[in-house]
Amino acid sequence: MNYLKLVNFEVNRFIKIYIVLLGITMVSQIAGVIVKANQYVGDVNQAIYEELTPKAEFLEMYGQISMGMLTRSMWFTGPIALCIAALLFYLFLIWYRDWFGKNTFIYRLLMLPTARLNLFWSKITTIFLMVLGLVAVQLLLLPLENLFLRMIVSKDFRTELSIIQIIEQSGYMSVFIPTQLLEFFINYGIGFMVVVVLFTAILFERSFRFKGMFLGIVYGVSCTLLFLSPILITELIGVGANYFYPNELFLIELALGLIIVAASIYVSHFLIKRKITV
Amino acid sequence: MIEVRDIKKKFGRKKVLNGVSFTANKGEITCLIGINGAGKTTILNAIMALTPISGGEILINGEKLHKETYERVAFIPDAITMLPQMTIAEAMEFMKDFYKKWNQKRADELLSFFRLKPEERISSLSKGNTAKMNLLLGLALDVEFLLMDEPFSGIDIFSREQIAEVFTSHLIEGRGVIITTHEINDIEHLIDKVVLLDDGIVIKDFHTEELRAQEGKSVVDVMREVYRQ
Amino acid sequence: MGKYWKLLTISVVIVISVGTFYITTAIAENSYPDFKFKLEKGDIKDIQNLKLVGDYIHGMNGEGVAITSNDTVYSSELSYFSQLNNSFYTEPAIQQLQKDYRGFMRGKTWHTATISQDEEQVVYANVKGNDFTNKVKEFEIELLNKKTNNKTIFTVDIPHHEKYNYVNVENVNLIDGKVKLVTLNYLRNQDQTQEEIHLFQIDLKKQKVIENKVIYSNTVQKQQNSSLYRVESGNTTSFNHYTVFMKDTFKEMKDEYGNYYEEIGESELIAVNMQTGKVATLPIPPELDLMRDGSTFAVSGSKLYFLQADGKGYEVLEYDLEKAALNKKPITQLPQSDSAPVMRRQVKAENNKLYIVIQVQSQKAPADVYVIDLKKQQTIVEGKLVPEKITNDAGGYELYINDFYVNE
Repeated sequence: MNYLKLVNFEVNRFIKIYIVLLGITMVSQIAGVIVKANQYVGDVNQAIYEELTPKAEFLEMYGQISMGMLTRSMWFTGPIALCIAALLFYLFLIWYRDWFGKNTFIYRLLMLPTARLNLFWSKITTIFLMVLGLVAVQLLLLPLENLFLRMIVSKDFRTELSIIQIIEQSGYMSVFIPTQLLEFFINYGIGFMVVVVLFTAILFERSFRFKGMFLGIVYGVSCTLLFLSPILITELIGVGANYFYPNELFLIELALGLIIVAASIYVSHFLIKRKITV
Repeated sequence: MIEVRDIKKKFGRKKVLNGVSFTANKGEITCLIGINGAGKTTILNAIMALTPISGGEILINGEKLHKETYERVAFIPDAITMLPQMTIAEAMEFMKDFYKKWNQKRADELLSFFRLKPEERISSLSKGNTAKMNLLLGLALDVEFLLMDEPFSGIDIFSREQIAEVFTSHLIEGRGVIITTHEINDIEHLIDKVVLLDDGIVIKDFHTEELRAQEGKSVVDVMREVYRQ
Repeated sequence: MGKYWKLLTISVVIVISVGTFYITTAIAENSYPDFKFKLEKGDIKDIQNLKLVGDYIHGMNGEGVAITSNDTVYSSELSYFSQLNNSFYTEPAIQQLQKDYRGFMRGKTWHTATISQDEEQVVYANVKGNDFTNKVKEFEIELLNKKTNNKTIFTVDIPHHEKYNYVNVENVNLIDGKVKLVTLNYLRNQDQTQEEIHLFQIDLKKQKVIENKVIYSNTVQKQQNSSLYRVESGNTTSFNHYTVFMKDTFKEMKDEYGNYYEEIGESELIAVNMQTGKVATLPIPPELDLMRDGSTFAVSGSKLYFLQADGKGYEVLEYDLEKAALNKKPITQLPQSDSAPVMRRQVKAENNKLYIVIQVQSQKAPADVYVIDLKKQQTIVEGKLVPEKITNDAGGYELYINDFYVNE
């Protein structure tokens, strides 16, 4: 199937940078756990054996160490922010690199004997695989890091946390890894919608260049307004944002999201088939 | 047969194609001639739906372009169309992967004919070898039509001779070819049909043999007449 | 397959890792304890309609919890939709109204103060406009006939609205085809009087304000501050005879370094009779130990109830609002709870019963629960909230009971 071949091709194009990103994340997080835990153990030894602070008093002052705490350190937030930035950048690069530079690979892609929308799908699939891949690796890393912490710090000085508790205490991880499956689909559904709209805007720009950039921005803003319209309209006419019951609002947003995704795919299909230019 | 009917194209306010029509038949080499900026490349891009046109239509064997057309028509652009980090072998593998009409035997034949090394990276190829590789990737497809954009521009004399050799060989035989060029000297004897373009319109359109037989003129003679006016 | 190995590896890792996470999350039993009521007196049936809501804190984790005699539900166990609907913290009376009169309740407040109902009608009354513009001009009144489902909406001007910075509707009552509103009006010009308690009467047929009575003016002396707030708790969507306010006075003091601080002075209760508009005030003697964290007072009929520590436990005191007199003899006495420090106490009256929840600092039994029959003046339920199992060994836990509801 040509779609899968294209996905494979796109993945292979990014794999080197991706492995570097994964490497940085793994090394930084694990190093972070080891460094921070050893620091803490150092503090404990200093306080208890040298300054003869009672254990209880030490814990009162510094508290126990926990994975939740560590996830908020730069060792964790740094590489995660880097991955996010890289993937955000890649959202644009995945299209524009085929036009720019010495090679014009877009010729080759557009001339493949396959539906051109497959290019769109393959690029979006690649982005999602990369994001979910990072999430998966993070989920594998957490138990491992938990193990390291357990090895370095004795039981009395650490708070034992489950993976879910670590995610909840980190504050930010629950955006990528919500604890409820439905929320997972909601968050990634919204993410999917945003990427589809962004890709449509990029295709506008690639079809009509400068004018297209303007059209793309207008399209993006319109989609945003449409998605937020239940809240905007109720505020505007003065009935208040709680005019809709929460579950009604959920269903309305779901419908609007589906409309936006469908419209974006339809427009993208039209643009990539009829209007795109090399 | 490729039929180009009254196609129009604007870039901003500038009209690049202003109602261009011609046909290119199977078994013939049709040459689009025009000075730089006459819209030759745009015509080829339009045939392959790589750029939208604002009017007219293009038919391939009587049909509008669809995804299967890319198994019938191959375009060899005047640019690097594979990723520079790929080797020639990988580029061939890519083509083989996606095209049913990929002819591995012919590809291997072309490889040795052009003396290209499959393990060589595209980024390190000379201009001449890049053109040869592009030609290889297009010619190795069992397609009915080949479109070539400036296959001779900017390459050394030996490469040019080698490429010109292709046109008289079995590699082209039976297929329809459209090539664009702004210098005719090397290939005048090869071409069957000429379409002269200027300012976005076709100013003359003729078969070389008829011209020679009826008026005793060469293509260059006609070009002189036309462009000196 | 050979050249797809990278794509395959990534996909397999994603499916296994993310899949395992959500499968284990779904089947994992919550490690938090179930709470049960252990009664020393009375029948579990008498607290079947009691629902405690609060937060369970363990280490740095915490989540919402709702406890009834049947089950303990943690917020993470709720479905996504229940979480959306905020079903933990919405009063049962409002939930019922939203279920029965979905259209009418649409976009309305989720608090009972601005809603009132009787057999035939539901009425909603509030200040029109939003909180941001700070413009107080009119009341909006919405009326629903329960039988015909007819909706009437009208607005009335707030008399002298230009005088007020803000008007807050504290209670709405439906009496004999009239709506009575008790409001706290915050004056623009706060020379001496800071707030006024108003009683408005609005005729539903004429759609007019027919009475606007200032029933209390909160005036303060120099170097004094005060706060005035409604105190009695419970479901106020049905008719209440009384709306009760508390006024605390603070004295501005200067410490030895010249820094100002406030010291609480006198307090008094202000009870508004919703039928007659008469006001009864009850000065609170300073020796009465009140915890000012809400839900300290409950009104049933014309009686106000509250707790008073007496060294051995608590006395349940009764204040007759009609006679404006404190019943010297406590109606009952509650025993001391295992000498554990008391964190919070909450009192609510419902159906001639007084429900008391006392949160104490104890892991074995973090709350005491009492139900008092007000007619017979005796304690009918006396019990403790106990965790059934504690699987978490380290650190212990804390349970904060923020509120409780009595379903009718």
